Amino acid sequence: MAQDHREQRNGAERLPLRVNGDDVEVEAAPMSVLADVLRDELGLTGTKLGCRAGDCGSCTVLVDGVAITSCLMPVAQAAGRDVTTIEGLETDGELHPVQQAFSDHNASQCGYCIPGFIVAAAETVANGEVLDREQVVQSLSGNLCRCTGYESIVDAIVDACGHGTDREVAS
Amino acid sequence: MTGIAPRWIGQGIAQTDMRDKLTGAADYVGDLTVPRMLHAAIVRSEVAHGIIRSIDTSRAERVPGVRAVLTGADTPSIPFGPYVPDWRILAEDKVRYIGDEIAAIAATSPEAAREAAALIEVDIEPLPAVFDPFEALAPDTPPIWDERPDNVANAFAIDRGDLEAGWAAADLVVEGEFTTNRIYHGYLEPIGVLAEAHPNGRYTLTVPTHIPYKARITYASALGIPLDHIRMVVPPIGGSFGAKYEMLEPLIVACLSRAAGAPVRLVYDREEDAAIARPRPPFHFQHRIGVTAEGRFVARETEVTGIAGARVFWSPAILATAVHRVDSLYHFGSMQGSGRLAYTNEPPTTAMRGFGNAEALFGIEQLIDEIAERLDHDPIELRRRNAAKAGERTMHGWLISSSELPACLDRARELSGYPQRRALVEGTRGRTGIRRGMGMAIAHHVSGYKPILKDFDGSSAIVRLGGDGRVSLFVGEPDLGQGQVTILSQIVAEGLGCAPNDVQVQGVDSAMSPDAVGTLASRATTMAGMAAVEATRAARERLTAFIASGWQVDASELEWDGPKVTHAVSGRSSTLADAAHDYQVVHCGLPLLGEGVHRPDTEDLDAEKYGNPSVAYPFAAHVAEVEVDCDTGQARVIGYWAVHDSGTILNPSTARSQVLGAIAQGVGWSLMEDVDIVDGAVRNPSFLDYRIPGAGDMPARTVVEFVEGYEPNGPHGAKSLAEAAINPTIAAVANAIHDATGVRPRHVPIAPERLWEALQEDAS
Amino acid sequence: MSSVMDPTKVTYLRPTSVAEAVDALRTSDGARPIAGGTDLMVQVRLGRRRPDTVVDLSAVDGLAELSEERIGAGVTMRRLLASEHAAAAWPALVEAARLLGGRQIQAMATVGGNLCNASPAAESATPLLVHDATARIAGPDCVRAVPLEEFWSGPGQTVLGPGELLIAVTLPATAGRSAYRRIELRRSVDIAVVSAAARLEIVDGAVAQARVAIGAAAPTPRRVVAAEQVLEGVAVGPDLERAINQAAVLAGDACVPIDDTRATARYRTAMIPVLVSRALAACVP
Repeated sequence: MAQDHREQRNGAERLPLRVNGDDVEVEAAPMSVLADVLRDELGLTGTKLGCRAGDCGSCTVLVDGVAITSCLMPVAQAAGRDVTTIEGLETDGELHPVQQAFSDHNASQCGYCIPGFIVAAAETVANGEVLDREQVVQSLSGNLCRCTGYESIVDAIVDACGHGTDREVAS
Repeated sequence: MTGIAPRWIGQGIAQTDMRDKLTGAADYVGDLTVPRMLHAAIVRSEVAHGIIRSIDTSRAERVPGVRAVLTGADTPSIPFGPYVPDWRILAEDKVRYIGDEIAAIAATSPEAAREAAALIEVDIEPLPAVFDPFEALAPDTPPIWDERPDNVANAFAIDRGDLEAGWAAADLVVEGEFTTNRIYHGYLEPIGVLAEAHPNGRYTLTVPTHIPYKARITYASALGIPLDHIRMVVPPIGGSFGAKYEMLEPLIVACLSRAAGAPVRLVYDREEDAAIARPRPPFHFQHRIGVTAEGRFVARETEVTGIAGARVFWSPAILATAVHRVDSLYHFGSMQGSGRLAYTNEPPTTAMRGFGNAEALFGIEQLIDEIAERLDHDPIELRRRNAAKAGERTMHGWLISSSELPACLDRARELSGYPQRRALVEGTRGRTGIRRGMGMAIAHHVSGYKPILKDFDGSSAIVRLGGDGRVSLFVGEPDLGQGQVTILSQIVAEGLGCAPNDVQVQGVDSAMSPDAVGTLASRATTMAGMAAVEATRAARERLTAFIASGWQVDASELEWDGPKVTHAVSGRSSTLADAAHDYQVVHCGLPLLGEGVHRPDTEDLDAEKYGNPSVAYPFAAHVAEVEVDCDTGQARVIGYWAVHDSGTILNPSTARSQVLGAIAQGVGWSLMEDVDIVDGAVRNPSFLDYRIPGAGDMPARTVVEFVEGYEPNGPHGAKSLAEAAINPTIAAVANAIHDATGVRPRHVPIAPERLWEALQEDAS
Repeated sequence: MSSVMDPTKVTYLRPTSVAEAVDALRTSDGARPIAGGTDLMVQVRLGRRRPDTVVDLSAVDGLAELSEERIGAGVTMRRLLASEHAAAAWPALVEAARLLGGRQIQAMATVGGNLCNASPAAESATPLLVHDATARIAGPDCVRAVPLEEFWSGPGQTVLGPGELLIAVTLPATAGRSAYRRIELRRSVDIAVVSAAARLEIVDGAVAQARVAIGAAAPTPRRVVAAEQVLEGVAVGPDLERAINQAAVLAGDACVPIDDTRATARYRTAMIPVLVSRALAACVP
């Protein structure tokens, strides 16, 4: 039986990750949860864990630009791919347009769920879609918040989407 | 100060502490790591009631990485608890609910701790368990605690006025049974604790509690140590809504740290958090209201039965609220109320936003609609007529120092079009197909509650003006995200002439913050706000006096404009920062301090429970519009109007956010949320099956408005908001569902299956 | 409390071809494939499944192919939602994909994973049943085809043998409309309390072919042939309305649901006729 293709792995090993634009190597078992590796190995604790079951969206990160729940992804599946966490959205100390919109709309209370919302919305904005309120609500189907009642969050994302297009139109 | 328009009060500025939350930099307790930190796991009972025959920890102790294994025999054996001394750090001879804490592990990784926890063998001899409050309270039921042979965890009784005369005067009596359910707080941040036992016998507990000083009293008594041996540090709190008041976990983790000789952190997974969640206590209400033909309430009776669970957390205070708080919303003429809390073999219940008031209103506000219908009165006018008004003292002695409730009712009617709009949808009412309806409910709440702490009510604050001109505020009331830090910053900025972003409201740390009652009972803005006003004034006066003495002028001749001070006669001027610097230099490093003490003139309740326990009462009028799919029982809230009197609105943006968040919790509670416990076991400990509403569950249209009055006992005329906003929600939705379908909801949640069943029954 | 998986004790394999994947799955009786991970990672964490070997399918060549008659096992819900062909040809399936989990889950969860997890409530199951899907299964010796209605053997159980792997479902070109309806307790992330899918092919004003399937109403998702039969041959109009009502009742008769935290069996049984008639009504032009 051919063993060569199997890449049989268990125990901790070194895995290459590209996180927020930096190439890093982490020591982790392939089946470790991406969120745990980001938090515990890389210190990126902005990715929050609310349920570890994909129900709340607090752990949302972008993998190759797509919003996923990092509590459900084995780190091996992220190896070699581009991972963006909440810490990767600011550029040169300047807030990402979605972060700025959340600030403008006071779209946070306790703040625990907010990184997940912002990262999910960052994908929406990056896609260049201009969404109305109803579409934004639909785009938030994977995120739960217990404090705000969502309205300010929806307002912020509608706003952020709009700004995205304004810039495109202007350029 | 001058009578000029406020610069910061009333401005809807963004939360001053938001940036860290937007960038992921805010460190909640689960994000904190310290050198040598170990991880905790707890071994819990899988039996609802039983005698612990033996605990074998030997296999667990051999797991690599395990540093401490504790059972009840290894922890201080001092009965304790905030209301009833029925808490133990770990179970001693008996377990009393599924989830009861039996043993605890500290290990070098969470995996090792849990692996060890799974290897602890506990031999339990099962005892008969009781899960129904009425069965628990029945004469022959075996006790859960020997100290309480009747299983009564707490009882509350009150009566006022001539009830017999009241009933005699009544032309109509409405009555009904209503039940409210267990609600899981559903904060996104699971419960966590970081504890460090220091070699000198002291502890540092990093705990997301919003009543750290009150909790410390409980913790110190459990550990048998002086209060000052525990330093409480409050990190950012990822939601609580009452759940994180006083938890057992910090004690377990503190003992683990002591045993292991290293800091220990515990963070629950959602399943564990939700399975042992100390939810809102469920209540059964028997309400009765008497009313004259003219629509004047003359008598009220209520009997309340609730569940404390296996031990008493905060349920007694909630029971008392459920029995009698509504008597300060309406004048009922005479009343008699009684309540009992049963011990059952279920997870303990505790405080949640609304605190018994929302629960009582669920039935009361529906019965008031029934009165309006049967007497053919306008439901809004009926409420207005019987509501307690500004300047009145209610039958229990509560002083309504301000109320804009009448104006709230008017605005709610105008904005929602209720009941004209209700008449419009009249043709759509029925029990088949898609139906629409509207319902209203009103509510009030307190702004602090004197009996919480026996030592004092009120609050204190310290303003520190550093030599660099930076301003810090120290209070003992933690922020939970509701925007209190921002509001306090606005208050300090208003008084000092700086900007809110120049003010750092420090996190609560008992090593430096004033002792305090805490953030509960909707008291923080009112109480800490008043203390902050005082502290700011003191700081300003001290600084003004310092400058005046330096310039050798009369302090009354100095004029402040923002952060600038001038002396018109001499033409001299300075700034807040420069003066603060000079002050510190002259005082050999001491920063300028302003101390503020707010002593509210609340009253101790007398033996008959008469007296004014709170400085101010906020009011709300809510209208809900629902759409019901009668074939499936699915209901949706499609429109919502909330009009509030919270006095001066210090920050319209954070205030609005409070109301919207409360409505979301109310939508969840009324339609989908329920801790499903069968035979003592929680069947839905996850965010998949315990459903807090998502964005798609909220009405497309929510209108929030404030009728601004002036509350003389609050900072700049403000009073509380957070709980008043949830209190009317479930009643408003229930009344709307009744309007749509004719079904009178008796239970929350009005979940699809339950509503469908009711529609079937009514149809047959 | 449940013990947790120690990820360092699980063997992780990442084959790049179907043959390698089949080979990898045979290495241990305790081997489990993982695709999007949205079910397996939770089950493993809670100790509900305890694989000793996990075979990651995400790098397997060809599994994510989507064509007019074939949906690779690795196709995600999001791919379906973005596909114009899927929207036109399999509207019931696209609606189910929209309702499966939240948006992040839709980006991860695959059709194959949803079918192999074998939940009676699997969102994609009933839509695929009404589109006459066939499961394509690769094994150590050959590729075999199993009608989807025979794919499940019970809750959480499929007919997949050791070393077998679902690689795709194939769907014959079908005409007519299909629709998917479910009862949910929350409009955001939720799982079907009960669900129904239907498809009607209408030729010359009469039903030429009818399909009805129900979910979370029996140990496995299932077709209700008796309901289909009362619909076939019926002319559009009042007769079809009556037949839809009859079909709905027959679908209710086919329910053998359970009581759980989401609903009682009684409610599930009562809701199936409502959903079936609504799904069928949505199929009538």
